[in-house]
Amino acid sequence: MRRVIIELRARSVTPQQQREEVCKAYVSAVVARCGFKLGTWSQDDDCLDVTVGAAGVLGGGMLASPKLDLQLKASTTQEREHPEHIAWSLKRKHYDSLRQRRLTPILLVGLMLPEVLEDAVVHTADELIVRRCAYWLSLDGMGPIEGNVGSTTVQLPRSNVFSPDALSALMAKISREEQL
Amino acid sequence: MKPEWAERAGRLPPSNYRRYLVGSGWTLSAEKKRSWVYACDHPQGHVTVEVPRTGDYVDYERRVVEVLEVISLVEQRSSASILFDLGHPAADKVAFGIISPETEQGTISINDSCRIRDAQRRLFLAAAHSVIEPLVHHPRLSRAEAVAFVDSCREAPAQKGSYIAPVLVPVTPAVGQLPLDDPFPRRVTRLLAGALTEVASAVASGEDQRLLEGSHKGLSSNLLDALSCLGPPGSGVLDVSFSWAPGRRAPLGRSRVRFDHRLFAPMAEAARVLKETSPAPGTTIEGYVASFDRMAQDASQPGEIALLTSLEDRPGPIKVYVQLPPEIYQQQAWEAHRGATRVRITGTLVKQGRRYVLQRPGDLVTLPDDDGSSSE
Repeated sequence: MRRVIIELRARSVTPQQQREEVCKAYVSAVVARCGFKLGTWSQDDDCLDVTVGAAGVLGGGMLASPKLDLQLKASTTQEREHPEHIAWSLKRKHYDSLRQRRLTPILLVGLMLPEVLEDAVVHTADELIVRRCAYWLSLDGMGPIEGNVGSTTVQLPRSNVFSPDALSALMAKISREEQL
Repeated sequence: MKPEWAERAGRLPPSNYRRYLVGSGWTLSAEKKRSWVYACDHPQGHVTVEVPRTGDYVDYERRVVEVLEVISLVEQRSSASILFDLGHPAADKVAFGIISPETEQGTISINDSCRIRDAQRRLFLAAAHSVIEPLVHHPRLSRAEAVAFVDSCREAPAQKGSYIAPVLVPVTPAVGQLPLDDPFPRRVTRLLAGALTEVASAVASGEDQRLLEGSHKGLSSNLLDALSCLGPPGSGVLDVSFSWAPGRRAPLGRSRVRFDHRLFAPMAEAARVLKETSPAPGTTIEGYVASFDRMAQDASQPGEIALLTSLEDRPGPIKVYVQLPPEIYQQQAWEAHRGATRVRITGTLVKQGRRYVLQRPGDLVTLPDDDGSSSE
């Protein structure tokens, strides 16, 4: 039976897509805990773009201000972890979209998962656990990638834990039009 | 998720969104460093949208898609349809939806298509003439301003959803807040919206008599005749919706008028009655003097002749009665009758009971014979 389930899963999603789904579930839980809503903008090319906002009065999934865009990434590669930060390689296209001038602030959110993906989500009758932690980084104001390289590595400080408290504080700053 | 029309939305500048919102009754509620916030009151609460100040923002497309989706919920119509209107900021859009089992696939027969286009043209022409002068019947739809207006209207690509044929009416954007009347094209679409609403209300309530009494609202025989030709093939509904150019305040909000296929017969009949009973000034009649009301013995008395002629839209020969002054009656009319000569006369044609009468006649002119000799 276990083999059949694994084969079914293998046919339906790739490990990359599975990581993204776990990441979306993590962020959805944090957003819901804060009383905000989550809207999905796009999901392609190794990243998932979502928007966090207040619930619009018209319903229908509409988001009202304050709003915060998130670019979600997830990884099981433990080598990213350093004592003070998480190192994340970004393609030039993603790096530029995160640092360029925009109306709504955007954060890179990287979710570090256990090395074995199956260990990331644990379910019992008492709790549903998503293991490990996500960190955030604002690239607002950062310079362009120098030279003719296709990617660069950014550092997500370990102090920037993407938690309900952190998200509430970030949304409060946005509503005051302060820099993140 | 990102809709398929997002890229098109992202190509429109902020000014298009601002004009649309202002034209749709939204008010500017806040000016932020990077955006304008517009608000409107909705039954479900106070709704706001945020329009970026520049299209240079990397998330511009994403933000204007959010704006469009909110407008879509407020207006209860598709984002794609609103996007079309946003892309044509200097035009009122009048969409004629032919909703019938025969148009379910979004297509229509070529014959019906030709009929609808001709009726659309005559409908706009009639409305334009009624803006210039509200008459129960316009004998000739040839006034220069009205003809030029129709020339300026554009047909847009048919839209999805049964068969929807939109017509764009160019309307210049307002500049400033001066209390001036709207430009001619907007006055035409405004009158058309009001006239169609009046027709729909009259025929739906069975008060067909109102169709004969609404010339001040644009209900002319010409408009009713054109409208009666816009019926759906077979059974169904004609749905006419008006979207107002964002550059000017919408006169009536968004207007939509529906006509069931059973309601078109009274319109055609009302058009006929209005046409036949309304005076037609400047009508020129050509024909033969067929009869006199008395012998030409008393040269001091006027007399009535009957001209055998034909009228536009009336099959077969018809008699038109003309009261002539004594000298014309006594000489020219009798000579034309004796010589079986064609004559021409201009006046105001009216229908009195079963008779056509030419009132306020001008000069009676005898016309050259077919061989070119003149007896004038």
